[in-house]
Amino acid sequence: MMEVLILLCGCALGAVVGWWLCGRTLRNAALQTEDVGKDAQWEVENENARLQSQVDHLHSSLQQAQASMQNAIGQWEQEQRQIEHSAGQQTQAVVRAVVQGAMGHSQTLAKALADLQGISKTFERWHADMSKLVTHNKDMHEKNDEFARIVRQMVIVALNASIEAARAGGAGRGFAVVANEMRTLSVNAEALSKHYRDNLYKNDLIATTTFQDMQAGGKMIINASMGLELTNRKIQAALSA
Amino acid sequence: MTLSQRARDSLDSMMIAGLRQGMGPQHSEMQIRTVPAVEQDSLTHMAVLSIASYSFRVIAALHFAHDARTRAWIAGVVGQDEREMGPQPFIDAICEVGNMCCGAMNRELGAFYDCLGLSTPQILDIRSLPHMAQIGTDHLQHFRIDMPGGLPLHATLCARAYTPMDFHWKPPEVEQVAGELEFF
Amino acid sequence: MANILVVDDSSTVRNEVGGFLGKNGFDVAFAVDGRDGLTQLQQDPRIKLVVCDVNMPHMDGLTMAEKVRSELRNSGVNIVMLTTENSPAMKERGKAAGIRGWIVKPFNGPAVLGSFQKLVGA
Repeated sequence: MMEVLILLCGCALGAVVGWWLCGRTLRNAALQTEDVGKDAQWEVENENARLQSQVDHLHSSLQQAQASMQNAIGQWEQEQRQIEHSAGQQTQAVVRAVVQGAMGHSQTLAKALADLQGISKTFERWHADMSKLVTHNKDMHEKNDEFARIVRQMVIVALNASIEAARAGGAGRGFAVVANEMRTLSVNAEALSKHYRDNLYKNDLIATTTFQDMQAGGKMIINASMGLELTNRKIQAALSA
Repeated sequence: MTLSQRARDSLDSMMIAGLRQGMGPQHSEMQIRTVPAVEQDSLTHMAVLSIASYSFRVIAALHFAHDARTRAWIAGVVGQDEREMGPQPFIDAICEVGNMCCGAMNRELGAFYDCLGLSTPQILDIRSLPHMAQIGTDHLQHFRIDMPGGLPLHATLCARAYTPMDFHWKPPEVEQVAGELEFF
Repeated sequence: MANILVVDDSSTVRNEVGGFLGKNGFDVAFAVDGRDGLTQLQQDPRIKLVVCDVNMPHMDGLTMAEKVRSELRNSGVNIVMLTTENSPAMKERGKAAGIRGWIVKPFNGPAVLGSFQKLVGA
């Protein structure tokens, strides 16, 4: 028991001593730390000051750089304006030249279209020619009708001649041959006259439809050229504005 | 085939509508139908008109007999006294019916083709009709026009396409009003 | 002295239009095509209104209208087209030639009488 007590006392004494020693160490460490802290603080402050100085320096440099950039931007803008002004003047000059050129072409087109509208005189000529053609065709019909009448008469005469030749008997044999020849020729002439008349009607149809195609086609051209002329006038008005 | 089937059908329909317009509204009961041939025996002349584009042409002909019966009918169409209708006024009246018919066709074709021209009418002997098939056609159609109590008339449509022609037309549901003055 | 000139190659149309206008108090002169129309206008300066077809032989109606302005230098006469044509291009051409109006055939006298009276009186 004593031993236990002695042991316990010893431990307690040791703990006290240990605590006193630890405390002294900590105090010394604190004092050292305080010294170290003061040194560190001084160093930190120095470092702060140094860094601050650097920051100030950088700030100042930044301000200078900003100022330089402002100047550079200002100069660049001025140069841009000068370039644009110069380009604008050049563009205007180019546009003026293009407009003048376009106006010249438009005037050339106007003259060509005015000349084209002279085609209406061609229509008047065509119509006059068509009237002549109709009259001529009518004349051909009449001549052919007259020819057909003559041929019909020839057929009758040839038939009569054949009859007379038959009446004359043997003496009329030679005459009968001639009469028959005449009759054959007359019948052929009659067939030819009919065929010719039929061709005249076909000719009338072709001439009429061809003329009408030209007449209608010509109107189409005139209307198209008038449309172009109106568009051209609008272009000229826009270019002059 | 340069002329499509629906283009042919459309042209036929336009011709029928044009003939109705040419004859005038007082003949609304008339029947117009396609026929394989024209009964030429009673006919003497035809009024021919053309519609031309650079890519096609259409020829329309109205066939008639230059006789008293037809003169009486045409005088009624144009509102004139039959007794005052001499040969030239009769021809003019027939030509005007043809002009109205082709004018209507020309207007309708204008919806499909920009550049068109219409000729003035010419009168030909009916014996020129058989040659229509020989002058170069892609489509040839004959029509018979029957009016109640009236004489039958005939017409022919002939079309030729130089480039492929295809369109579809049907008569407007509402009849368009003509005769109004459009002020500029 | 006429105050209306009707220009059409068809006597049917001339009679129809002229007959209606005559019955309604107008003095009507006639021409058979554009060339004839120009001659009539030169000879009769009192004509106030021209009712004119487009498709005619020798000289069409629009060419006549253009020549009325350019050659006759007559800007006082009113010109109205009466035609089967209805294309925008033709109407533009007519407007450029100074025409006052456009009628698609058939002629409907009562529908246009009032307008014609104004154009003649204008």
